[in-house]
Amino acid sequence: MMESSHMLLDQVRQAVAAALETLDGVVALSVEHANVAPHLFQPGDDLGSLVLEPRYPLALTVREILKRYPEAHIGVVARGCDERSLVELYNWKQVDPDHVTVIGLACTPEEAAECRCAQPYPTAVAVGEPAESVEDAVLAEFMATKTREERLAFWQRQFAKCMKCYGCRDVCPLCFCEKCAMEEPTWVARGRLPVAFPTFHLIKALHTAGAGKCVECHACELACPADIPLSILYSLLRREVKEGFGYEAGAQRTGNPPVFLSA
Amino acid sequence: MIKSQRLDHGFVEEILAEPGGEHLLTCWSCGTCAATCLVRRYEPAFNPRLVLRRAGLGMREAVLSSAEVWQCSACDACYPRCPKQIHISDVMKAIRNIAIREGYERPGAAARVDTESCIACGLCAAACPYEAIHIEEVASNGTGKLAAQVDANLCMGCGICNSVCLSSSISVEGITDQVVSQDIAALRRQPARGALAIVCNWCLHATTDWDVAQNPPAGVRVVNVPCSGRVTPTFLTTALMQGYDAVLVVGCKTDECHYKHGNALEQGRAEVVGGLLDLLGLEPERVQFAWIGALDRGRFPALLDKLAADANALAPVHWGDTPGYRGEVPAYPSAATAPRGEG
Repeated sequence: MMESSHMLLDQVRQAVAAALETLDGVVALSVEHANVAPHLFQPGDDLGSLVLEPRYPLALTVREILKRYPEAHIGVVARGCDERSLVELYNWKQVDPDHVTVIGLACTPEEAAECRCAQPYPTAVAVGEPAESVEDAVLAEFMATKTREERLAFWQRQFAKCMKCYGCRDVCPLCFCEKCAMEEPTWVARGRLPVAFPTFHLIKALHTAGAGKCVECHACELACPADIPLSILYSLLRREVKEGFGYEAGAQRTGNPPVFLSA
Repeated sequence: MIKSQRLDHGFVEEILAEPGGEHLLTCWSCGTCAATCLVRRYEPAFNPRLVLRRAGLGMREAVLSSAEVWQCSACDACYPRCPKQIHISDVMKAIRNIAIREGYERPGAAARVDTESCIACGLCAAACPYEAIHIEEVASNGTGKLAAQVDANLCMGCGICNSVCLSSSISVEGITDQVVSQDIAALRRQPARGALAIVCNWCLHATTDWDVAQNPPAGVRVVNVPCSGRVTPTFLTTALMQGYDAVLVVGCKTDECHYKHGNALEQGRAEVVGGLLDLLGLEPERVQFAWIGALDRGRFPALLDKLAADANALAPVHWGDTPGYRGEVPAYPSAATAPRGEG
């Protein structure tokens, strides 16, 4: 196991080194003093600090760099969810696809299982072997095992744990607004806990999954310090959007944001 | 008084030559259009018959400088009723085109963009029923950026752009998030329990229905919005949180939207809101939707009666930080999230 993950890392470093021969830089994770963060590797940089874990969404880092340097052409080490995030950023006109090269990384079966990921690989895999799709049964199980009254009590309890750290929003690869509705005094009282049920959490859910943006990377749920099972809510909205409007986030480049719900 | 020496027959010729204006002079001035006009409910001074009459007489200045030529929103309620089959909204559009060429501007509130926070995603432009919004390069903080820009002469002020914008970077004065939510909250200040109906300005065709909206049954409060498409799910959950036991959104029936497709947007939201309520464990009657067409006269009072009855039958929910609510919350769910210094 250890052996194969080292092999994978070596292969990614080789792919990045090759890409840096033609690109202005490659976005990947880098470790420094035991802290892992998104990093722009540039030609000539030592790739020894490049790592793959812990997983962190990279699409918004690509947006930030291209916003500052619109002429640059950069690569990104992208897992399936990173690539789908980028597709949505293209559709929402936040990233110009002509300036991005994806270095596709397939997740391991263990990683896919951990994320309950339906598509744990990008469309073009440069490194790794595409793992089997994993079914996410959390929503179905939740609905099947709880009565209506239990569901209401569950969510009131879960959302009341929220300490309003905004981690779910800050980590989300598809939260790119300059002005966030979750901080609008019209909807959210400042300095008050517990947050208003259920508006506070529904704003985040409706503005991402409800707007057809959620690529099910689970980053929000992993980031939540209160362990709120956000993916149940997001799974439901993804299903509604797919069934009601035939739209699946990250599935295809349309060049325009989908108009069907919003806010 | 109309002075014949001030009439301008060239103006009549100009309208007739403008696409849509060809049938101006076939008008009999019978007034059927005015009798069926939905705009008159809000703008009693608006009278399509008079606009056509004045235009046909060549009263250039009076017609072009009036607010009325801008008030028709092309709902075409009058068109099938006109005995001369004049497409009146097209005549209005022809007159507006002349007005724009001569430098007149549409009065009243048009959508405005906060260019600082706009991220130029183009969602509002795609949602606008009147193609009034375009993404353009604008000056901002001494540099250039892309942002939505509104053609005020095309905007009809429906607020659909605001309802789709994720950061509320575009809004229409009078129906901003703040104004609508304050309307909802202001009604709630009465201590009694109750239900809220958010009603589009155009779906009630019968005077009796309109009267009921003005004087709703006990326990029901009515807020008007230009279009049901303006109503976001956030308004609905906020209303519940403020203590309304049930909320009803009333909009126009499919294909009868005053703003072309605002109701379709809301019908999509209705589906999703239903799924959300179910997931959250809230009764489906908490948030209701109804679509009223031109032939559904008299249906509205029964909808409000049902809403009041449903609200009455539902148990109140503790929303937000009411004392009983906080008491139900276990201090911390697991050791992993226990506060530092206590573990």
